[in-house]
Amino acid sequence: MNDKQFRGDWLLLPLAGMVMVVVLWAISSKTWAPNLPSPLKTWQVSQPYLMKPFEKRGELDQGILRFTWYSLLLVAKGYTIALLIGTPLGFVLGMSKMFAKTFDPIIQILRPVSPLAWLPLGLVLFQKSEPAALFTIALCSMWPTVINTAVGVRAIPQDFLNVARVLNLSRSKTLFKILLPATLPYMFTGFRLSLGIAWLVIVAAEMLTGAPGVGGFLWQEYNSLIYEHIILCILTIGVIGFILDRLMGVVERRLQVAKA
Amino acid sequence: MISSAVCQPALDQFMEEIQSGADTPHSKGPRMTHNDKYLEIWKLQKAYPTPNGSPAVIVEDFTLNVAEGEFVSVIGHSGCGKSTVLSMIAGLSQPTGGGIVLAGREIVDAGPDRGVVFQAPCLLPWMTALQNVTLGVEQVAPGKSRAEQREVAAHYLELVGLGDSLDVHPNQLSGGMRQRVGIARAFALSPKMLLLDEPFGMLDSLTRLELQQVLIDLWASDRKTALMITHDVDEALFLSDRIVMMTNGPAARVGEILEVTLPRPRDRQTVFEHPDYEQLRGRLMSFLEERANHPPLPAQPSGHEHHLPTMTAAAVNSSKSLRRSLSRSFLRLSGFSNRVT
Repeated sequence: MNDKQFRGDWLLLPLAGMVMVVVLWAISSKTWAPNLPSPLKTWQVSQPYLMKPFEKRGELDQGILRFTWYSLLLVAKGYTIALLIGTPLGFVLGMSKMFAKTFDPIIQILRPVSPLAWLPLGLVLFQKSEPAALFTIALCSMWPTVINTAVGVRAIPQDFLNVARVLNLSRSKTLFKILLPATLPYMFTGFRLSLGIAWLVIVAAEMLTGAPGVGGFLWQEYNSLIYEHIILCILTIGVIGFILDRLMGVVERRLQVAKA
Repeated sequence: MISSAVCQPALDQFMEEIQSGADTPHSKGPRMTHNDKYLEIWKLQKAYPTPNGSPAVIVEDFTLNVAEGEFVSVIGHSGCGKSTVLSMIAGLSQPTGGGIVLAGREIVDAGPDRGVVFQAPCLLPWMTALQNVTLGVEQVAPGKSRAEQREVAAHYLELVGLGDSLDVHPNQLSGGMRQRVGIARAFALSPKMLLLDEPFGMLDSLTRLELQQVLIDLWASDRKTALMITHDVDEALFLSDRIVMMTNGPAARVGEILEVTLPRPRDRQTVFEHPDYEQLRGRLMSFLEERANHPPLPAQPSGHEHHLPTMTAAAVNSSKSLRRSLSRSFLRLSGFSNRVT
């Protein structure tokens, strides 16, 4: 492969890639997928939602960023619950072999279960849509945090633990001065993966509960046959997910540097 | 675990200490002190269970007394179990037989009364050099204010030549500088004794020579009882009052003990040029080359009257040429030796 670098390639190459996909999309909508709105039509129909992103015209008719904001709030709540449960759980799993043996199989079984499967159970348990959505987000997104924290705790070098023993550090000092800082890089990788999953789950959760948000909007526009908005929602979800991941990545890299 | 044979002398020693004031600093002379059994290791054994039933014995019947203020090295081939002995004294590993008494107390667990310098510096990478040392000082001087604790830590870092690097994280320090922090951390604890587990084993030879000097200077200032594990003959001779030679494993034990009569304070050049040096080195080499594998003599804890066999011509020759090249390279490099690596 010829991998020559040139000035501005960091911008021009991704732009070229996007143009190619848009062209493919345009051709598809003209030929084999007549129901797929063309890029131009999508842009025209989406314009009011994009140009006035925070406007509220009605309960189900709001600017796209306003919807996104609702979704983010819900994700933030569910994600917080996931971290609050997942981190200590991961620590215990990492520190106690017996605990790990006891609960590892059940974690491996629950981990791959889709949000679409958890949500009805959440509705049965809580009777309301918001707690059910939070339940689903928390339950689906906590596993990477649990597993990475546990791996991080197990990976703490014996050297560090010897230092703790030789200095006779108290339990809390060992936790806060040694275990926690040593595990933090791993934990944060877990946090980042968890956030990605939480954002994935939100769409499914909103679609099923009908909560206002970017996923709820998507489902509603599908029912109203406004397919352009489906594409708008997909792109929004993608962009927001990308931004969240990048933000977490920046923090994560800082911690990795501290590790070395 | 520990039998009354150990407890009794330990108790006597404890009483003796109470009467003589145990914690008075010892200014001069390693063997002028009242306490010849400051550290008492008695019939120490370490064995691991194996699947086929008979346990694998790493160390067997290891008996040694170390006087207060003495610097003792344990030398032996790698894998002979010398590090196992040290980790049992450090309390990081439990003996399966025998016992260890330090300053009248049996060692049952790890604690900051023993300053350990590990082979890898074992610094916590998220803390600065100063914080790494202060962490230990906090443990041994909880009554002091934070500022005082930091002052103690900074003082020891200055003594090892890191006064300018207090707020630097370990990943920005060279290997030699990291081990300096490790040494400062051990000394800053003001421990009852120092335990050094091949402290310079991971350093290049030039840095090793420098750090040996740092260690011996620091040690000379308060003559802390020290036990060092090493496989470097010259290092052992340069630093120690006595050198314990361990037989090869399995079931390693004390083979012979060598008194190092070289005068203190020591610097490398005078040590190298001392008339006894060659002979002492020859004894160590011939043990390591010939007798380490043979069934050992019964261990003699006193270690003062030994019949040391004369060394062979081969051992003399190899030690002579080695010493000459080492001393040459050192003198060539000694212009750099004051610089921190």
